[in-house]
Amino acid sequence: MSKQSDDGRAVTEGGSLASDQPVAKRPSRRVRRRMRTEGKRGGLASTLAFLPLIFLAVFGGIPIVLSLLLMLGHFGGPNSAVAQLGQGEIPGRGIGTLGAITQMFESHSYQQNVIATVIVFVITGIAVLIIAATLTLWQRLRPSRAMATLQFLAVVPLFIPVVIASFTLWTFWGDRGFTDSSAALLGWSHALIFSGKLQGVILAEVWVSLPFAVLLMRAGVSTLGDSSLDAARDAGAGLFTVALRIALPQLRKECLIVFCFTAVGVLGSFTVPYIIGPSNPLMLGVDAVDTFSNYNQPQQAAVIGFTIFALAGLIGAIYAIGSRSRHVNH
Amino acid sequence: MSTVNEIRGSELVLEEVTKIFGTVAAVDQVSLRVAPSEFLTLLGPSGSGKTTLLRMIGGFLSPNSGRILIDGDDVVDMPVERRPTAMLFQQLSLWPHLTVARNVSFGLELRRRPKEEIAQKVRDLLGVVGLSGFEDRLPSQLSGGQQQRVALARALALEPRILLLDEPFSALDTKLRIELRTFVRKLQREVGTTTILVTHDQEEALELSDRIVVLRDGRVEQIGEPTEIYDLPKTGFVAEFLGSMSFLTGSLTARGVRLENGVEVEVQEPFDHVAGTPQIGVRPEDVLVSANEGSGAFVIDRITRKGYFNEIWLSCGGATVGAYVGREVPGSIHSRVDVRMRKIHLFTESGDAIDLDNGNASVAVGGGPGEQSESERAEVQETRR
Amino acid sequence: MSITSWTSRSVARPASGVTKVAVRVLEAILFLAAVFFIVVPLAWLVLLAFAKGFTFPSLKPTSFTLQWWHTVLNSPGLLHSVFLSVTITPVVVALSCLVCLPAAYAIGRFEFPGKRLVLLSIFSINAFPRISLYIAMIPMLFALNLMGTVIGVVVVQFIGTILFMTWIPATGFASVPESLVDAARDAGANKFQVFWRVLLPLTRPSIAVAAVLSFLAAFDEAQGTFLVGAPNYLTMPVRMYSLVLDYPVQFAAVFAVVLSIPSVTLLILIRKHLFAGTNAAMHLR
Ligand SMILES: Nc1ncnc2c1ncn2[C@@H]1O[C@H](COP(=O)(O)OP(=O)(O)O)[C@@H](O)[C@H]1O
Ligand SMILES: [Mg+2]
Repeated sequence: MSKQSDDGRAVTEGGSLASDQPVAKRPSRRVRRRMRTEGKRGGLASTLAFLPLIFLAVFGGIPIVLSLLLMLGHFGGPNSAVAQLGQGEIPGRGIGTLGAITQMFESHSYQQNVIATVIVFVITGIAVLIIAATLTLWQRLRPSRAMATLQFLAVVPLFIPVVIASFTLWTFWGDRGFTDSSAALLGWSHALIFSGKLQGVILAEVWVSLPFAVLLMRAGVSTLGDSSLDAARDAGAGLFTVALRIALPQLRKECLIVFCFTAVGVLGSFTVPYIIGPSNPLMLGVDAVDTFSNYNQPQQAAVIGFTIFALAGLIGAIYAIGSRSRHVNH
Repeated sequence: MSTVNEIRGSELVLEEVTKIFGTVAAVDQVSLRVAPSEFLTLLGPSGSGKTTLLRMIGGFLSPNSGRILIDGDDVVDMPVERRPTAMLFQQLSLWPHLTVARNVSFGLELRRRPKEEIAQKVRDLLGVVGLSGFEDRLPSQLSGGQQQRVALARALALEPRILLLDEPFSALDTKLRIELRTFVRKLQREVGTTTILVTHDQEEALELSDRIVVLRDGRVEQIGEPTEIYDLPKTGFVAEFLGSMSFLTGSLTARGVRLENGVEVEVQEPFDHVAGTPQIGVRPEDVLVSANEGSGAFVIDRITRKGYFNEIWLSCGGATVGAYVGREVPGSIHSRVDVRMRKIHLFTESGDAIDLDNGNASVAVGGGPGEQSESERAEVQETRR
Repeated sequence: MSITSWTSRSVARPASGVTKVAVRVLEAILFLAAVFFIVVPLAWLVLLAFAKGFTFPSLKPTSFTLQWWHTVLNSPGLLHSVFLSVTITPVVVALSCLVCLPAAYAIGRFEFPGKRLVLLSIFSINAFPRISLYIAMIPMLFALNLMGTVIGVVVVQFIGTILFMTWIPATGFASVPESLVDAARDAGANKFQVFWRVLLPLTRPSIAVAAVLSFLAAFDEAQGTFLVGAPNYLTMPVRMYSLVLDYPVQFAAVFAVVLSIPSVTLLILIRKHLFAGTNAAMHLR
């Protein structure tokens, strides 16, 4: 927006049209917003806006700080209740100890778990993005009843509780499940068993993540102007080119959100890998719960929690870099 | 300022083209021929099927039946991206993520033209539409008029044999609209591409077109040159849609028209005499009003200021007539005036013009209306303005 | 340069019939893939719930039976879970509406100091992976004596609905054109009437979408509920964890079908409005 100055007038050139109106000088976004809501601060309502914030602070922000302290070996205050039950704790003085962190990261199996988790969320994020973009753009550019139904099908998993989905897919892709049986009937034994493997986790994560991605992409795709798409075809672009060069670049924000949202969701998921995933390597979500509940090691669980946070930060960085572009969003 | 390359305009022929949406025929058996390099306008009220017809020519829709021939080849099955047509849309349709230059060059890039050629062409075209120096702007940094000019450059970059314009000026303000359409017309003459304009604006149609096609409910009501359609509307619908017309019932006499209440109104130009009581149409510029010292058969009901002229509404018995008069209104509201008519149009009760050449009139007397001289036409136009 | 570019194109080639067929084939493949990937597993689940058993590798059950249904419907523990889920979820959604809708209204319609802070917190809490948030939350819940209580469960589920209940209605409130509000004020409506008669009706689709998503999120929540509510408060999804591991597949399948009924009913009720609602609610521009 800032590039938009009144220099437009100066460059205008050419005979009969020189009298065109100068580039409208639009006020900055902030000023516009102020104009729109001029003097409206919403009194009571604005105060109430802080209500969710209180909940988030008490059950989100403060716990995260406490968890950080716990990880660094501070067992006092509100942490004492948990610390008393915990085992294998490494207390810290002063700023704290990195003992728990090094202990975890030196373990080979933990390294494996981190790597497996990264692989799963990257692949799932990309797969979901590709599928959602394909389905929604296809229907936008070449509407048909079949594709409309397909989009609807893609949203159905939203209405199936994740536990059910995981269980269903576990039996479906599992040993002596649907695919295994089908393969066996075709004389192709044990070829299609994915339960208990990372592939199965990816399949199921795609299953549960797809609906939200499709809804979001669809909302974005519906804002693409008909005439801008028509104009591209007019210019000689086939459907594929229109999708890739005209539609997708306008949906950059949606694509980023779909990828990041899916990736963070996978990163923080427990149910899917718990039911479908292998016991080695463990996805970090399962590892965290195991460490906390089964091994009774809250400090080590906090380390896993913060590993997950750090990976989420990485995804956040992808979002930040991706959304910083020349393209002006309206 | 450099000019764009000349483009050989194609001939376009439509043969009984029909498009049905649900149960409605949006376009109903339309046949017409557009000559190479002609500027043809599709004119009609909203919902008359103009856009649908244009989109079928562009390939965005395919007809349920009929043929579309470009230079003799049936293109009905040819996909949009391969048709030698380019469309300028009513809505602003620039690609928001591409700069002005990239918007213009997109089609050329797809054709894998050499880089220098593309750059040169973009420079030329932006020069032509008066936007040199705007190459690196994004569409959101341009005004509506500028965006539409970029869209025009983008369409021309494709060197279309047929340029399709779907009310491209309607989103602009009056002054800009007039400027841009004059510019488009001039450019079209230079470049020579066959052009089809869709509009519901009669002024635009009369000003720009070589020929006008008046559409109504998906059917062709009349095709002809602007003056022909204006002077000899084939139906009451056309007469009312281009310009305006008041309709009277009465009988024809030797000197003119006798209204139902017995008042006789003189008609100056010779006209056809038909049996029965036809519908009598008169254009406001053909109604001559004179103040007759407060007496006269007509009463002024309403006066509407139109700037440099006035439109007044007169009544006599049950008949109402609109008239254009100059700045000086011959009287005021409720005053009585005399009315003569320069020229009348006759229609059957179903609204078809009574046209002697087609033989649907029973009696013929006097000269045909086609003899009106050029200067008189000019005068008519003059009065309308 | 020139006209020549068009000469090749002006020759009308018959429609690239091959492309058309290819597109149709691709569509069919995609469609079948989706059916296999999404629908067939669900059908498989239903089949399991009525199957006596299978002889590998046959996909046809040895016989059909309702015995699993009997067992499920007669086990008090499971029915207790059903009861818990059906009561706790609406409470969570109601709490979410109560806490978040005023905030959504304020965010959508007003500028106030701290607005960015509110938005940023809501988004960043949701950018935190769920499971580590829950892990972090536990010491706090211990400290507040909320571990193993209904309130603890409600809180955990509620946290997962905040984003939906604030962001989506806020977008809805913000998208009501100022001119409509102005017109209502002109017509003599006071602030409350403007809210009640103009803003709220126009925002209803967004609120509905938010409520549906919140309902699903809360009903579905198993990870946090398991950590906080066990062993006293095992909602249906939590109960599923143990069923999956400790019971015959068919038994779990029956319970899974039962557990799907509320949300699938919801899906059937709103299927017509689903896309219209989410399109309007998820606008990012
Ligand atoms: N995609 C469509 N589906 C159904 N009806 C349509 C569609 N497009 C146009 N119509 C109908 O066809 C008729 C002609 O529309 P259109 O060509 O847009 O008219 P115009 O451009 O002259 O205003 C109208 O009655 C319109 O409602
Ligand atoms: Mg139209």
